[in-house]
Amino acid sequence: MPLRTIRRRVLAFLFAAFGLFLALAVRLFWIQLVEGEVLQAKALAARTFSVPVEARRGDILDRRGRPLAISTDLESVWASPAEIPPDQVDAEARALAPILGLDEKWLAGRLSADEAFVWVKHAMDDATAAKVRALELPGLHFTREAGRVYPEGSLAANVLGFSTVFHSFYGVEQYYDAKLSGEDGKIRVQRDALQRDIPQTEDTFVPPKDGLTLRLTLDATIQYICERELEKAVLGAQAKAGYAVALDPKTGGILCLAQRPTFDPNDYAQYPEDAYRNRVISDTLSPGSTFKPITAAAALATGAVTPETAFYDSGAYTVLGKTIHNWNGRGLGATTFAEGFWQSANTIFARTAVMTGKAAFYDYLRAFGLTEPTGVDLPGEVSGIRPEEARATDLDLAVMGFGQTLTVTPIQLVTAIAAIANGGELMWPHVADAFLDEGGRVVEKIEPRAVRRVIPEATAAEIRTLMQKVVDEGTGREARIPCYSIGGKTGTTQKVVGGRVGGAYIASFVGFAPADDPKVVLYVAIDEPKGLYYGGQVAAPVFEAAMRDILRYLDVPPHCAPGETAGAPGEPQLTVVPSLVNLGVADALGEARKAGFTAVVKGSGSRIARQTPPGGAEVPVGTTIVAYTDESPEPPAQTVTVPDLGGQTIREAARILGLLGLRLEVAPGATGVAVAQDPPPGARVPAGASVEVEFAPPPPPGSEATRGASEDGAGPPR
Amino acid sequence: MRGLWRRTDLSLVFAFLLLSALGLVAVASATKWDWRDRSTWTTVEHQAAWVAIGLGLMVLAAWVDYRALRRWAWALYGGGLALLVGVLAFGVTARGAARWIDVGPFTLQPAEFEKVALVVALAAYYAERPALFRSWLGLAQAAVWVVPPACLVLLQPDLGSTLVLVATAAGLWYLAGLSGWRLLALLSGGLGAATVLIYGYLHGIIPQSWIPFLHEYQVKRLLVFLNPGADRLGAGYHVWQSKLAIGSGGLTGQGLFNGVLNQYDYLPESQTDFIFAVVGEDMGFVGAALVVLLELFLVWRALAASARARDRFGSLVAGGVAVMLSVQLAVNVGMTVGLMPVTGVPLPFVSYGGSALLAGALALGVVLSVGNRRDESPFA
Repeated sequence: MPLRTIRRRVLAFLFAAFGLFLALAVRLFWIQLVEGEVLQAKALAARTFSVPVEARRGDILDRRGRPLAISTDLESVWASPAEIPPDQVDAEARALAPILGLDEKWLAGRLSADEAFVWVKHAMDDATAAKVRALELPGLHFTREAGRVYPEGSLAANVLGFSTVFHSFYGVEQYYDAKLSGEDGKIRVQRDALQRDIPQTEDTFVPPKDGLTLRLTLDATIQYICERELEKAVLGAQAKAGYAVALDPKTGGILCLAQRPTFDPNDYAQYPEDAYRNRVISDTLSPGSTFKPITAAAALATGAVTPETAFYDSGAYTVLGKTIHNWNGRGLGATTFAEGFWQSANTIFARTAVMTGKAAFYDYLRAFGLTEPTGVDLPGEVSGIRPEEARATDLDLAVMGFGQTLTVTPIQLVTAIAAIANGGELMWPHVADAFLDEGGRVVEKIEPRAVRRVIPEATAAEIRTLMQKVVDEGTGREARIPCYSIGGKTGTTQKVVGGRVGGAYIASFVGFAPADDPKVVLYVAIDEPKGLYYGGQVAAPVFEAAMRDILRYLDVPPHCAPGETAGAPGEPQLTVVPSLVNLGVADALGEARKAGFTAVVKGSGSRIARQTPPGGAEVPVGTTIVAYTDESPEPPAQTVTVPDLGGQTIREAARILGLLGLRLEVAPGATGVAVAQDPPPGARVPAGASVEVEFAPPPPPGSEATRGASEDGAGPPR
Repeated sequence: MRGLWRRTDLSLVFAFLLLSALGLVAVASATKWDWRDRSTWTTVEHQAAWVAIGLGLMVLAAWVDYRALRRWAWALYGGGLALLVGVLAFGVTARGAARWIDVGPFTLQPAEFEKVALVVALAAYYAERPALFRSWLGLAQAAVWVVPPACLVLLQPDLGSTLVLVATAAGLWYLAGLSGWRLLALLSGGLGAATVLIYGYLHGIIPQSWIPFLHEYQVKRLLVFLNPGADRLGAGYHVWQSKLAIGSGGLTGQGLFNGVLNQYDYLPESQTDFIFAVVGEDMGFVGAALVVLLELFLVWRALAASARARDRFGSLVAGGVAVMLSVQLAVNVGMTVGLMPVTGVPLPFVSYGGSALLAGALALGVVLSVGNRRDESPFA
């Protein structure tokens, strides 16, 4: 082929090459100038990431600004199992388990999991984190997470609820979650192909809106008083449960809301789920005689009776063929409504309810807010039940008159009684006082709200007078507080279990002080106490002890009658010593701190084997508990001289023995003063031993202990 | 001697230098060169050294009479094959492919030299056998020399270089006299066979063992090419990022050393196979079009030298270099803009890499040599 042909072909190829250039140029033009902006935007989107910036959860304060729940940055530890040599997994688990309070086996499984990332422990306190760090174990990594700390431990736990990394449960943590949690912000960052942040790019930062701080109406001190007294009573009576709730009758603000059993929100997972719910708003119970002020209010307000209305009480009252008896089967004879009230005569209240009439009675049930939830700002509230109005018979009415066949929640009852205490207005019960910003300025005030006027001022005053008489002369004498006027009402309800009336009771007391201008309404109920079960015996002393301290704390001026003193000011406050035995050292220290004690651990073991004073003893607040670990040498054999308890009340005896590190053993149902004891006074016994004490009513008739035991009737009509 | 240099096509030298300079800037950008940080200089320094050495080799090759190469054609062919066998025997493996031979201070990529060696060897063979392309049998005789180097390169595996070798050879057949319809028949036959093979493989009709040279990732790349936008995080990642980078450049680019996708490592192989995406992102349409234009200018100058060559061999050598350059341009740029499937072919004189640069410079030197000894006929 001649050279010429090649040259022709070269020319042809040149055209082809020019075509190639055109094709590439057109393609470049298309990508860069037509699609350019779109592709640029896509590239930007592909390297831009939105990183959430967690908003700080608002704190929860008591009404005086003391923190009950605070948000912190806590360290969490996670593991990357691949980095842990398989033969070291067990050793690592063994080293970590005691520090983190975790099960060694579980931990070993976790550390050898076939995953790239496993959480080991969320939100450790700084001391724990430091210990874990110091171990310098392979494969462990640390990160900071927002944590929630409840500095007062279990105090007010059922009001607070708890907040985890993911959700908030129960209490105000749940109810006001939206306001507490705020809004997360975000940072838009650009990242390179290896996911490293690119510095100096224009980041858009949407700052988080931190959650608001919630200030409660609850007072930490009053809450502490309520819990302390409730704890003592529940432990002392070996009761199933207990409630104490106090509110300011003028505002409806809840001052304390205590319950047993409860839990520690710092360590919620250690408690059964049943401990979380707030029983004061989610349990319904027959109010029994504590309901009588409501019956009285309805009757007095409608004019069905006056305090002076005359009754002849035979001790029994028959309605629709059923007979209602008084508690002791005895009647008051010719009497008045007023006396029937403070003697808590069921027959008179049954008749009063019938006299008031069904329509009016139900109207007042509704007006007092007993037929629907109070709307308290806590989650999980329920309402009590009652016979349906249309089908209620006179018998139903009569029985409801003394607080049976209908149920209410403690919060419903205390709210209704507060309406009587404040002059007749039903206030909305609430725990939130205000929301504050970071600077502590009030952003939103929760204003007290009157739901409705229920009864006239005058009627309320009449009932307060009647209730004062209950404490001064009637069944509620155990609730008397020197130098203060107290109004109250006892209640004892025989629990209906499985449709049958059994031997289980609820002992309760509701009252207020001062009676002429109430500052505090307090309701106490002890569910299934062992031994004594009358409201006047079990609940009234709790009310008395708590109310006395609350009044002093609130600086309510005492008005002492001649010869009366407002109690010994120097008297030490007593608290029940927690049992630390079998707890780990760290848990034991925490448990002691929660109960208000300082604990000193002796020995090098990891579990507590012995302690002094022993668990359950009552000692002054601030006493140091000495805890001995299982590997500690035997503590020096401490012997104690048994004191003479003769003539002491049960309370006093318990206090004295507690101070010495001894335990009180007493027969269920015992009342009065100590008449015999074993071992005898002067005997030397080891610390922690029990002293069996026999009590009997003291010789002079009419003494407090005997009269306190006289109680209103209980149970459904026979 | 003076007369020789006066005839030299300085525009080609100038285009080579300009392209290499643009390449150096792009390589600097791709390797995040920072004049304050000496450790970032290495790649740019190496490339600059290759350019300088390449220029020297080019001048040397231009000075040597290309006709001397005819005598050495068989030695070149045999030497090229030896090196390719050497790669397979004791090559340096990187990213799953053994393409390099370690020769002390640097590594040699024989496939790049083979591209030039094959052009020279085939040109010499075809120049002496003008009647070869008149029959299918003759064509087979012409083609059989392509098979050994193509197969050796494919075994590395280096599909891109195989493609360049075969396509360059096909271009040479055309220049050497293969009729247009035969070329067309050959092209459609090849494409058809490839389609049948791949379709059959994908549908399980043809077992993998029938096409041992084809790797899974190569099939994936082809599928992604046929279905752009699919698998943007996997097999389609390279092309998608490259398209984003080039698109982000717009008309005038994001500025030298400012291309975000390149600077923040979204662009893979940015200093070698995807250097064109760096050019497109940093310098925009203006820079990218300039690079393509310069490459085609080189092709044009090579074709011009081919057209004026005093003999068949010179014409075929220069033409073969032009074909080789344009094939590499089409495959490389086509790949970065999504017109071609992804294969590892460098952009001549722009991509980082000593072997490609030296081989390319040598090829241009031969073209200069052909031009220097041209036939002053009125046609040119």
